[in-house]
Amino acid sequence: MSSKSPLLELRGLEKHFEQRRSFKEIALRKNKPPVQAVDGVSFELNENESKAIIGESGCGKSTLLKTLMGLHDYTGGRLFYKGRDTGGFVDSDWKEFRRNVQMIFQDPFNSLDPKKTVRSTLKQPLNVHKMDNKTDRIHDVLQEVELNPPEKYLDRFPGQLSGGERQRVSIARALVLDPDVILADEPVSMLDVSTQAAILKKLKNLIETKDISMLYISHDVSTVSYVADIIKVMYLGRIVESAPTETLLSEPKHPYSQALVSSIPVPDPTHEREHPKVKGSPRDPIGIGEGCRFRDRCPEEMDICSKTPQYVEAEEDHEVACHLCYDHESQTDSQSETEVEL
Amino acid sequence: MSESTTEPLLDVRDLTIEYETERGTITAVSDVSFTVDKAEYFGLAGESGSGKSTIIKSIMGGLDSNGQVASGEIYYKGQPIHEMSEKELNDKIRWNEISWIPQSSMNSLDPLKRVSKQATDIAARNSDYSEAEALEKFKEMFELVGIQESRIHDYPHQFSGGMQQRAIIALALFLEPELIIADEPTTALDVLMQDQIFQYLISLREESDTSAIVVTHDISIIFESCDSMALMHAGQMAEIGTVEEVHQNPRHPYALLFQNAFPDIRYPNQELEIIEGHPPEMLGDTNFCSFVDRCPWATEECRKEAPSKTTIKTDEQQSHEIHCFHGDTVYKEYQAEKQDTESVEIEDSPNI
Repeated sequence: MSSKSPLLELRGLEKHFEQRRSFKEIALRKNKPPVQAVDGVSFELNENESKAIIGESGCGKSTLLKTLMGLHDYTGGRLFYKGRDTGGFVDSDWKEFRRNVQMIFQDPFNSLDPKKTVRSTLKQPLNVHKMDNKTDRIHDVLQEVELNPPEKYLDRFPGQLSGGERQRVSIARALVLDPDVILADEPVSMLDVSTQAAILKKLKNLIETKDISMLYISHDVSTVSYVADIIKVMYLGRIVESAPTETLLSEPKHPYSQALVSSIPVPDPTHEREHPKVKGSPRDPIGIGEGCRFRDRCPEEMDICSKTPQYVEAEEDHEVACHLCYDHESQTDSQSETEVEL
Repeated sequence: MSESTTEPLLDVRDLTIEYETERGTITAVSDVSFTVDKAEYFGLAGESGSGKSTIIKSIMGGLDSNGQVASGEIYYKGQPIHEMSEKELNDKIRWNEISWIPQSSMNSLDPLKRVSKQATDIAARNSDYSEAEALEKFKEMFELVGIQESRIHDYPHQFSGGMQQRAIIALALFLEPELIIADEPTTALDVLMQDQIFQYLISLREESDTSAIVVTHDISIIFESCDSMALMHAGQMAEIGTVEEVHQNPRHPYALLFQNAFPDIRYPNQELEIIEGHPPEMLGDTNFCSFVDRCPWATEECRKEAPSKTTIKTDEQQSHEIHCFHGDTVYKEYQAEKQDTESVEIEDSPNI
């Protein structure tokens, strides 16, 4: 059973945060609507797959990643790991889960303990999970991330490393436990361009050679394409489009994806880029209610957008949640069916 | 031709800036010259530590206390602003003539003053606007940067990081300065907002002949928004010219590799260049090419002396400048190498 189930499966996953209430509000029993940071996200991450989630700040992508990592408890929906519902996990299951699901953080300057050498940074997870051959594993993993020769780096502190080297140590720390899944939170956004390319290549190479699946989140559409096979676009807590990388970059269907893709500057002064018509920034994900969440910024807004669009397969492997992209009459039946199923 | 077209708006000549540190003198900027004309947008590109922000600070008269202009001059409309006192700069130059959009918004707003108060204070000192007029102008700018105008009376802490950055952009632009200095103005912002702000900056050049210096590590932004540019590496100029020239005819090895390290969304499968190593710390004697340790084409000559300016004539009309001893050979070899790999790829592919 486990060989066929996806590594991670999200079914309508939700993470809502309660808003802090003032003393007066508590006394008067006034409730505030929750912050709907992640609001019904469903997808699978299979073996040897790399998927990316892109979106503006505040779209919920970081919250989603932290929820997957178990740093937040989800407030709704279900999360399966290798076919098993994490809702029924006991402590030993979580420990196993955390050995297999590792994270690389955005900021290599703050995500390494400044008082620990590279050696002890890499040794700690091995101690926690009581793994053997520690010295060999540390040596191998440093070679894997191209910190050569490993002896040169073992006794250094993060302060003695450049940004790119630090991010390599972060990757090594994620790899040292031989995980199935890596969750990467914009791992190149803080690096210089010359280093960025090297780290992107390294990540791609790991996915191809080491049986690792990756979920990569970023706001930068242009770097994502080097790592991910499939890109999902997130807006205010929901996935609005999903397609293979090249399709999404060349033929995005959702007006928001179109805006995101066309807002990327092109390194060519002779190229005339068409600028997006979308203005402003997303709303706060509080008390959003019914309807398409992008409608207040959408250049194509119609009356029907006050109803929540269904997430449908518009073409093969290309899913989108937009009223422009499906025939409403033929879809009404299937919608009621899915509701019954849920 | 009138006089104003011959004299550049900003003229930076042979600028060298040094920082005194415990370990000795660090040369952050060596011998840098460039000019910005009226209605010209000039881009300064380079990695962190290239000296671009130091140049900007020296133009604004805001170098850190251990930094000083060791040699060279900076002229704005013919006046030597590197010699001006703090008071003169505040009275004559800052905000209404040259306005600065700094990189980090967190430290740039006064936390104890409402944003609207900061705007009216600046207007009172640097413009003839009445308070009401200034507020009106400021409200318009707020709208433009995508914040509700009702929020101009908020305190900085009531804004998110992105909104603070946009509030600063509004402050920097509402007095319609002649020269805008934008130091990584949009790195903290999302791509859609970045696009919107640059569209506005570009429109200022057309509408009111504004000039700008755009400092960024993102060469795509410079290619899209600027007329001319300079690429810097560890305090030294590498290549300087129009954006078209630097893009189409790069001769300095750093310029070649740097622009090919950038992902281009039109070609998601294109191989990215990697530049090995990192910029050196320019401690002590700096009379050598600062790119030498990272350069695949470096020779002994490059260690003995910093290369001076060479003019590259690419055709009858076009020319630009580089600081490299080997510009022409580098370009030819790089092109040949690229063609080789491309032809190999074609041979490898079974379908062709």
